[in-house]
Formats: sequence, structure tokens, C-alpha cells
Amino acid sequence: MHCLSCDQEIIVEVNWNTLFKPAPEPKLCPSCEAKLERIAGKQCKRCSRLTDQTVCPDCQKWEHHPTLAGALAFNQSVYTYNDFLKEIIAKWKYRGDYVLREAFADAFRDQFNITFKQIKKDAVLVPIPLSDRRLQERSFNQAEALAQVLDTPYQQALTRIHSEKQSKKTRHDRLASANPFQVKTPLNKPVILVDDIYTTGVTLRHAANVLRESGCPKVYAYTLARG
Amino acid sequence: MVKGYWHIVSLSVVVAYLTISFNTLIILIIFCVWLYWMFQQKRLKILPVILSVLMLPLSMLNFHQATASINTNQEPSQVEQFNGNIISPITETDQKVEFVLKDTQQRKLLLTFFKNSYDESTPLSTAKHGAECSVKGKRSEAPSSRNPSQFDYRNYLKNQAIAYQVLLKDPNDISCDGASLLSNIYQLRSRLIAYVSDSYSTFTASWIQALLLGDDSNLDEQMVEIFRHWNLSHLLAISGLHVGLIVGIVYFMLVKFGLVTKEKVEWAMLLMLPLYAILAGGAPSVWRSSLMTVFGLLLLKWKGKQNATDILSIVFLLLLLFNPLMINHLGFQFSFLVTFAILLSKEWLQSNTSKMFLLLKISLLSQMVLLPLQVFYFYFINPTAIFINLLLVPYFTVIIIPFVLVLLIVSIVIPVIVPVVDKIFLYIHQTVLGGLEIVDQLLFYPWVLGQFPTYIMPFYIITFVLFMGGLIKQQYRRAFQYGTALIFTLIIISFQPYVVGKGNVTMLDVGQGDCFIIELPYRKGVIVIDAAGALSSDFVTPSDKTYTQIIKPYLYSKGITKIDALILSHQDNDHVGSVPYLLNDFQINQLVISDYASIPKETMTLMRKQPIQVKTVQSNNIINVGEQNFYVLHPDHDYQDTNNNSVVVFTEIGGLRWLFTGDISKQMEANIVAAYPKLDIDVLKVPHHGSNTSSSELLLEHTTPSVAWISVGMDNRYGHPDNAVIDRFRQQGVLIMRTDLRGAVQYKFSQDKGTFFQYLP
Repeated sequence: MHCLSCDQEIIVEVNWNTLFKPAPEPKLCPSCEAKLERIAGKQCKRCSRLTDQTVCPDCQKWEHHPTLAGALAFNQSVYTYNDFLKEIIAKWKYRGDYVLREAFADAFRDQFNITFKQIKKDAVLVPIPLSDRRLQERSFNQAEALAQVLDTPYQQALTRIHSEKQSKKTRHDRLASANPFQVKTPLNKPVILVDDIYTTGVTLRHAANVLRESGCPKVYAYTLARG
Repeated sequence: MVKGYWHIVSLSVVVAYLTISFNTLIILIIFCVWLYWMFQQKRLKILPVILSVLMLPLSMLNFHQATASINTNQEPSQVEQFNGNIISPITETDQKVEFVLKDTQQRKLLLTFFKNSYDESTPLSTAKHGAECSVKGKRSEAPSSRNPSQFDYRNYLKNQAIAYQVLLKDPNDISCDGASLLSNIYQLRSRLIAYVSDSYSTFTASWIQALLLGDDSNLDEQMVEIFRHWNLSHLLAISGLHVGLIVGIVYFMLVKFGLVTKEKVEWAMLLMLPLYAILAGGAPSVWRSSLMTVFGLLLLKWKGKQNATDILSIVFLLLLLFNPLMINHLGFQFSFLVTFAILLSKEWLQSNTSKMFLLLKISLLSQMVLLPLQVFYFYFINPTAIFINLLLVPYFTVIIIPFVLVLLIVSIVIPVIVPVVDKIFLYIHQTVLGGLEIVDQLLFYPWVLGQFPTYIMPFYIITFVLFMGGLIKQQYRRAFQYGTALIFTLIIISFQPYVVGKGNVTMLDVGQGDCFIIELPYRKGVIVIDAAGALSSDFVTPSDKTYTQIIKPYLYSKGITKIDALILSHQDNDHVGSVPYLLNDFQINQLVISDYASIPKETMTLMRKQPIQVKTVQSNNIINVGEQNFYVLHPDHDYQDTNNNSVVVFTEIGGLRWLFTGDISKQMEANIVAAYPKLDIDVLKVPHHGSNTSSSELLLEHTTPSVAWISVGMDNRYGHPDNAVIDRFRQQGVLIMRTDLRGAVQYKFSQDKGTFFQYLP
């Protein structure tokens, strides 16, 4: 076995916990694993940012937004979007190293089952779509790839009009941009949106907004990284 | 790839071994189901699973074949001629020379010469490893166990695939030719051992021999026993600690003093370590540690990566492939189990920086992981042993082991200063061991658990694994709960006899002598009637053999540390020889002797150590232990003869009436019959081992026993039991049970019903 990130050989150490129940095969070597920062402890209850406040200033501002206020019940992220994760995600989604998903699949599944334990029973997952053009460029949708990891059914309920990459825009541009999403199939169940990164939260709120308008009672977000 | 999963393959070999030795399929089935389940859950890949499953029948076959060649049919013992090769090193002690011969029929024979039976000037110098020999001698089966919990020498040899023992009297009965390459190392070993004996004082030599050459036969036996009390035996067996230290010291000296390059030293080590393992006597722990070091060095050279559990497992598999019988070795089991446990606990052990704390953790871990084995073999644990380990492990590591290495080197390089260093060593080590001896006398309170019930074993193991798992995850609450459960398990084992309503009366086979043990139901009392001692081969010096090999293991296996009444019929060694040892190890509430007997002085001194109530009795007295009454029927006055002054007791146990008679003669029997005309019994302890001077028709007709228990030695020099006595019992239709024929005899009962058992078939 070799580390998905640094390609070092991984030596599985046995301990008393894995003696009778061997651990799942590790995907990252211990030193790479250590560079990932799991979000745990005190965090903003709306957007999962690490903070001592219950609701962070950004989220307080969102509550006064004319159109998008209250679109999203909350977001949960798994990791902090640090330099290491930035590198891995870039390799994964821009350079098409599809198998890298396995590096965080287990943690992504575990956290989902903790946070959405009650909600997931009647909810449906909706991955944030790419525009057709972008999908062709990348050949897979990272949000969908993440949704596939979870054992809750997902539905491609949204379509996206092509626009410039979010990552190329400034915060101001992003907040001002028009809603790129349209509802393909209206849903009257709670929805958990799935995406790779939560940065300003505008994309997820745009998606949530259109879903709510088409009759969806409540929308949550589940993302791999909190930017 | 199996990498990272070799321990599962090893586990499969252990499962195969347990399946064969306990003759049950349950462990095997559970293991297979577990393998399948883990494969389904994607926790195990296909390769380790296949390899593990394949290993099961293979190693079962391997274990089976290793001992299958043994034919246990007793054949007439005539002088025979055996031809074959010597396949073991020649071991020589003060009393005997021993080695194993594999004959042309592929049978393994243990050849034993007792030194006192031949002239030492014609030594067995041609007997070497690998030599081809022809031997004339009588084949005999090794003695097997004759009592519950007694060490079984025949089984011990069988576990080494040795079918017979051949006792040789005359060195001319063996002629050998040739030798193997290995014999050179074995000879070097013997020479080194002899050299050390010549150079140093007995005490110092014994420690150099034990710690560097793996020969502990010269260590003081009492000290070895004390080491066992305090779980220190691992210090006496050459293991990772010693090998690591020796490698470290040699490496340091050669490299730091710039004698050779690092590279060369490493290659030299690779060659030297296996040779050292042979030189040090080839005990499993030496092999384990030196092979692991070899693997480690090779990996270092090839820049390979392999986790330590894999290395341990591969060494385990290799050793068993080479010699499957090694798994029967206590040292093998202890060594691998402890090493494996330490490797599994790495995260927990590494979580502290303090060396003392680390040592405490390792001691605790070793003691807990070895506990089931310790209880299985020795029936007791010593919880405070951890603290003694904490003191003595660093002492051995830092001082004694380097010291003996220096002593050996000094004796070769600068022999002039030998007397000086010898004195220094003697002074230091004797002081420390003296301290240990005092600690042993004052603080050794073993927790005697008795036999570890097999059904509790899986529960203990699982709870222990969960406990350690909790410690590793730093879930201390969880760990605490499981730890408590572990202690409770032990307490439950200890209390078992107090809730079980079964009792028994046991006549131990102590050879020519008496020892009866009565265990009342619900542990309401333990009564011992007589405790025979043994004599050394000179028939004069008392020996603790009967006590340490028969009486103590039996009592310990039952979890007994307290004897409510020790009734001594009379003062002969074959009835009381083990009493001093009993007084030393057991709490004795009441000591009962006849009014006309006296306690020997030495016994008196021993008795000062504990408050014992001494009760002297004569006829018409009653000894009571709880609700159990023993009626004393004899002696009514002083007969001026130890045998005739024997205390005779009558009691009712388990629905039967018993009469214990010591060594009384016919005249005394007549007196008893006259004094108690209505005396009617079921079981008679036949007086005086079945001598014709006792067991009169009068007694038999009057008391009408239906069972006669005779405690008598096999082929004893008195001709006991006398044929006339046996005839008398037969004529009366009395069922005879004899220790010389059937080993220990037991009557197991609950309430008023019971059954007789004889230990040997």
C-alpha cells in the first residue's frame, strides 16, 4: 500500500484495537494524515467555521441578506481548507486524479453519519452541479463524486448556467453574482446539498434558494472543506 | 500482499495448536467465521485470509506428525541394541549426562547416564552432536504424573517427541563415531561453561553461565524459586533484553573505538547472532530475540519497511516450521506472547517520556498478558511483583548483564584481576539478592487462584483486549470499566469453591507414605491428614520433592492457601516429612498430634511465624472443623512406639464413614475394637501401608469396611502391601484401591452421594 498523496509505502501498525477488528486500509501515510485538520470542537453553528462565537460575523450578515437570508439551515464541513488540503483538492478536481477521493472518503462518510443522523432518513442529497462545459473540461463532478461516497440516495435536481469559475472571483464579485442555478426536478423533501468547499457560502445559498422556491421545506449543506 | 497481516497467519497456527491440544473444534470454527466476516467487511484482503486458512490444516498436520511417531505401548524391558544419531547437544550436570538419540526407526530416545553409576574417568567423550552411535540398554517409559496437577514427565518428553528413556549404567554400552559441524559450537559452549566455572567462584560463575551462556543449572535452586515468586524468571532466560544489550555493547566497543567500520560490524552481527543463539543454549527466547535482531538489521540494510509485529510473526512461523515442538515450551509461549503484547501497546507505551513510568507500564502489561498462562501453569499470581520488577529490571539491565559480559571478557584478556572483579561482583550481587530474599520472606503473599477454568479464558482475553484498546485510545473510563471486569473475573475464580457444594477426600500418591486431603463443600474446611516427605537418593537427607511436586501443586490447583486442621498421625518422615514446607507456605489454623508425640524443634521454629493452635489429642477427643467432627479413637495411653501411638480418627463425610488409622498394629486394632464395639465403617485407610502386622481379621470383621484405601509406594523395599493382607480384604469382599497401582484416589461427593475415582486408568 502506498500513500495516495506522497506515494510513500504505508506500514500498517497493529494495536489492541485492530487485533480482532483490523482497521480499514489506510489511504494516506501517517504524516500526510496528520496534515489534514479535522474540524472539531467550537465552530459556527451556521457555517462550520472554527470560532468561539455561536454564529460568526459572516453568517450574521447573511441573516440580513435581502434575498438569500435563511436559504440554508446550516453547513457542516469536515476539514479546514489548509494548504495541504488545497493541494490535494487541486490535484483531485483540476488535474483529474479521481482516486484521491478515497483519501477522505471515510472521514466524509463518518462525519455525515454523525451530523445528519436524524435528518438523513427523509432527506435527499443534491450535489452542486457543474455547467456542461465545465463538466466536459473536468470529466467528473467533484460534488457528485463526494455524494456517491455517502450511503444516502442523491438526485441531480439542479442545472447550472455557465459562468466564470468561482475561484477566480473576489468575495465582492461572488456576492454580487447572479444565481446560476435552475431546478430540474422540484423536490418537496428536505435537501442536503453536497459540495467540495464552502468559501463564502454564496453558491450553496443560490442553490438552496432555487430549491426552496420550488417547494423544498428545508435545505442543509455538507461540504468537505471550510475555506 | 500479506504485509502488515502476518500476525493473522501466526494466529492461525496458534488456533491449529489449540485445536489439537484441547481436542476441540470450537476455536477453529470461531476463527474461520471471524476470517470470513473480516473479509466480507473488507477489513482483510484475500491473500492473508487464504494463507491463514491454508495454514490451519498444514500446521495441524505438522503438530500432529511431530508427536505421532510415539508409540506408548509398554513393552517388556529387555536389553536392546539401538543404532542412530545424536540429535541434541550433550547436557551435563553434576548428577547426569543426557542427550537425545534418533534411532534407525526414527524414534527419539532420551539417553541418561547417572554419574554415580559409572566411573568418571571413562567419560562419554565420543558422544557428540551428530555422532553415529550404537547403544545397549533398557528402554523404559518416563514416569508419568500419578496425581492431579503433578508434573507429567512422560508428557513433557512426549511434547518433545521423545518416546522412551534409556538409562545407561556402563559407558562401555555406548560407542559413537563422528560429529556434526554444530557439535563444535556445542563443545565450545561446554568448554566455556567449564572455563567460567574454573575461573570464578561458584556464585559468580553460575550467574555468568546463566546470563550469557543460557545455562541456569548451577544457579541456586532456592533463588530460582524466589525469582519465580516475583515474576522475575524472564531475567534468567536470555531474551531481547540480553541480546539487545550484548549487541549494543559489542557494537559500541568495536565502532566507537574505531576498530572496524560500522558496515563490517553489521555483517558480523548478522552472522554472529544465530551462532550466539546456539551458543547460548538455543532456548526459544534467545532464538526469538536474535532472529528478530537479524531481521531488523537486514531490513535496515535493504532500506525495507516492515512493521515489528510482522517480523515477530515471521520469526514465530520460521521457528515452528523448523521445530513445531517448540510451541510446547513454556519459554516460547511466554516470550512471544509478551513481545507481541508490547508491540500491540506501542502507542500507549510511547505516550510517556519518563523511563520509570515506561518500565512500570511494561511490567504491568507483561503481568496481565501472562496471567492466564501463569495461572495455568503455577496456579498463583503475585500482584506486587510489578514493584520488584521495577527495581530489579533496571538493576539487571544497567549493572548485572553488562557486568557479567565484562567478567567473561576480563577472564580472557586480563586474568590477573579476576579475583578482584569476582569479589566486587559477589559483594554487589549477593547483597541485592539477599535483600530480595528478605522481601520474599516478608512480603510474598501469592494470590492462589487454583485452576483457571477454561471457559473463563475467552472472556478474560476479550476483556483484556478491550481494556488495552481503551488505554490506547485514551478512553480511560472505558479502560477502567474493563480493568474492573478483569479483576472481578479473578475474584470470581477465587470464590468459586465457596459457592460450589462439592467436596472430596483425596489420597495423594506420595509413594511410600501418607497424605490425605479432605475438602469440605462450600470450602467450609480443608483438613490434611499426614504430609509425607521424601528422602534424597542417600535415604537419609530429607528432600522437598514430594511436597513441591505433589502436595503443593495439588493444594494450589484447588486454590487452597489455608488449612483448617493438619492432623499428624505420628512422627515418621513418611507421614510428616513435608510438614515444615507446609508451615512455610500455608496458613495452618490447627495442628493436631497425639498426646504422646512431640513436635521436632525445627518445626517449632517455623511455627513461630504464624499463630498455630496446637491441639494434642487422645481417644475420646473430638477435633472439629466447622460442622465436621473427627472422633479420635486412639491412642488411649502411651504405647512407647511411634507407630502404635498413631492418632486414629473416625469421621463421616459425603455419606460414608471413614477410619484413618496411621500406622497402628494388630494389637492396637484389637484395642480399638474392644473400646468401640459398635464401630462400623465404609472406608478404611489401611494401617501401615498394608503391612501384615496390621489389618487383622478382627478389625475387618468387626468394622465391615467396603472399601480399603492403601497408600503405598511402587516396588517399595518393605514388600507392602503384604499378600496376606490383600487376601484378607478379598475374602471379606472389600474393594481395594491402591496408590501404587492407580495413582491418587479420590472420593468426590455432593451432599450424601459420591463416586470414587482413581487417577491412572
